[in-house]
Amino acid sequence: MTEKQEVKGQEPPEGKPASQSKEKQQPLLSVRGLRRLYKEESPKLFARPGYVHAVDGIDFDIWPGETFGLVGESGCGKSTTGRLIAGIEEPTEGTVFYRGKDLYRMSREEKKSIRTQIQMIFQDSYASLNPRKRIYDILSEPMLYHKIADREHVAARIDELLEMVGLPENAKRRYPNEFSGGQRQRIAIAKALSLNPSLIICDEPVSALDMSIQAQILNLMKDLQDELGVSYLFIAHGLGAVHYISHRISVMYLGKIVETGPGRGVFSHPAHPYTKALISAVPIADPSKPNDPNAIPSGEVPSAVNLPQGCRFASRCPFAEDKCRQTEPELKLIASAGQDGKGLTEHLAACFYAAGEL
Amino acid sequence: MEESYLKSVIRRFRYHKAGVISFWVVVVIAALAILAPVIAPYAPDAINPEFSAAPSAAHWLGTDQIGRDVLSRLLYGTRTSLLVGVAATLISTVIGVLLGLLAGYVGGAVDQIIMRITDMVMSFPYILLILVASVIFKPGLNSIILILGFVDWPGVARLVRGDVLSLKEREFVQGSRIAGMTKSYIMFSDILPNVMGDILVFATTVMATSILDEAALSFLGLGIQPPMASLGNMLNGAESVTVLTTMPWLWVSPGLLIIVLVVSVNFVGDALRDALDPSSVR
Repeated sequence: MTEKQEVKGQEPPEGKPASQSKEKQQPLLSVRGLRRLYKEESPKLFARPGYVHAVDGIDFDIWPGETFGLVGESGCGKSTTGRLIAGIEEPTEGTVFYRGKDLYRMSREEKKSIRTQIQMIFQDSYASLNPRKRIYDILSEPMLYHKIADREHVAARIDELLEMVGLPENAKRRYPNEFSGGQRQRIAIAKALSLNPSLIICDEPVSALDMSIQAQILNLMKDLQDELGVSYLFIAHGLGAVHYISHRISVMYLGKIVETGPGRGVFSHPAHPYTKALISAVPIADPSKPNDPNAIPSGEVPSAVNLPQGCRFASRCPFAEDKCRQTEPELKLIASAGQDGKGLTEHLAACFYAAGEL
Repeated sequence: MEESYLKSVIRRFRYHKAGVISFWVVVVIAALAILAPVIAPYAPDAINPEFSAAPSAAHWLGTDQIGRDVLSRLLYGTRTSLLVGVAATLISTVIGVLLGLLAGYVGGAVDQIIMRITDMVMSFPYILLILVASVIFKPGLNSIILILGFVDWPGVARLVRGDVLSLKEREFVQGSRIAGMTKSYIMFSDILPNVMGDILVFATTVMATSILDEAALSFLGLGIQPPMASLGNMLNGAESVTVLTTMPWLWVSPGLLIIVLVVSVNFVGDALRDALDPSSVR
């Protein structure tokens, strides 16, 4: 993540210091040059098709036991990133390594075993549970399918899972529609956990819930992480929940990561003007401190089909100058709280202004 | 809260008053039809001395122009009509569900081919098809079942395809994909149970239509052939104005029975739609 790698170089990342064991130094997940383009439906018959740059070359690592937050506004490509890692979409370019293995170039058996290790939680907790099945069947099916537990042990495992997510034991005999949104999200978490994954992709898991329930679910996720050591890729459009749960945060804009760093650093010392804008959009619970009107970007998000030359944020940026409109900035180190060999403390931003190069 | 799915379906079904009444109406009609050989006072093609007799103690619903007991023919005719309705519905539903699942889940060229065939069958005037078929095959019970079965499936196929297309994007199906389950597993474990309700409801409509189509074809003389009785060919006599005006007992009872049967089957379908949805409030 320290330097923006070229898309072609798809080597599994290696741990830097030789002294430490390789197991500890290997990221759980490494995204390298990931790109996903969608062909645009053209109204003209013979027009050359345009491409929507949903995800346009991103790199990041997720380490074991870590929560990695991915934020950005609607359409910035954060959900597509999640779906690419989950394997329900194929990248146009680039790849994802899971414990050093290429997710898109592996044998059927490997794929099947990896599929149990990366699970996903969705925003719409109602649609994520089959309405025709009882909770018992929803939870037992993946375990039986992957032979993680046999019929005798499944029942005990389900009781255990329900207890972990704070639901009563009798929940297993009911149907999803008998539960509230927060409870359904707990069931979705239990379902994801049933396969003992090491990474859970959380695509806006609390956005559809009201504030008090959001806090409950986030706390539950934190507790489960402490208990099980699972990693999260936490995708959200608002910084509030992401800041609360994430160890590190990356900010996406128009398919690219514009800023990345430790949660506290990004939140309290945002470097990129877009991140500043996102933070200023979080309501402040103090009427005497109005939001900074200058920080809210003006104008529209440029089309993801005809990307502007230079910085993608330049058209809305209060600090943009000619250089920004001509060359595209790359992620550069802004601050670092020391070397750990993992880049966990490094704070990077893709902005000439933030890097002091204007 | 702990009740089986079937129990909850029955509970919700009971809320639909018209549906419950219709259900029992259908059950009684079906029972009478099945028991026709036992309860019919005469053989359906036995010729009695009185021709075109008005209803009497001996013949509750009168006799037709060649002296057959109308009540007995009505019972046997209902048997035929129900058999055509059920068998044709079964054939068209099976064809429709299989093609719909395939088109919806596989997509691409397979989808295109199946859906164009569906359009073709749908746009074909079935009366014409049956005219042609009746020239090629011998008209009768089996051919009418097959013809109606092969004419009615496009509706089912479209319905199932549409459902599959929307279900495919639902998060729980994607969740199963992420969990590495195979397409056929997802199709039969996640998707089909969620389409089942719609299929069942649609099947009742198809059944009602099949009964009506059989009646129409038999009325025109293209369907069930005499001496075999069906509700449709019993109406055949009403083609003549004399019968229509002076012998109402010949056509009122089969006509009424068709109406009652079709309306009841539709109401049962309506009640089923509500009952099969676990997310409905009741």
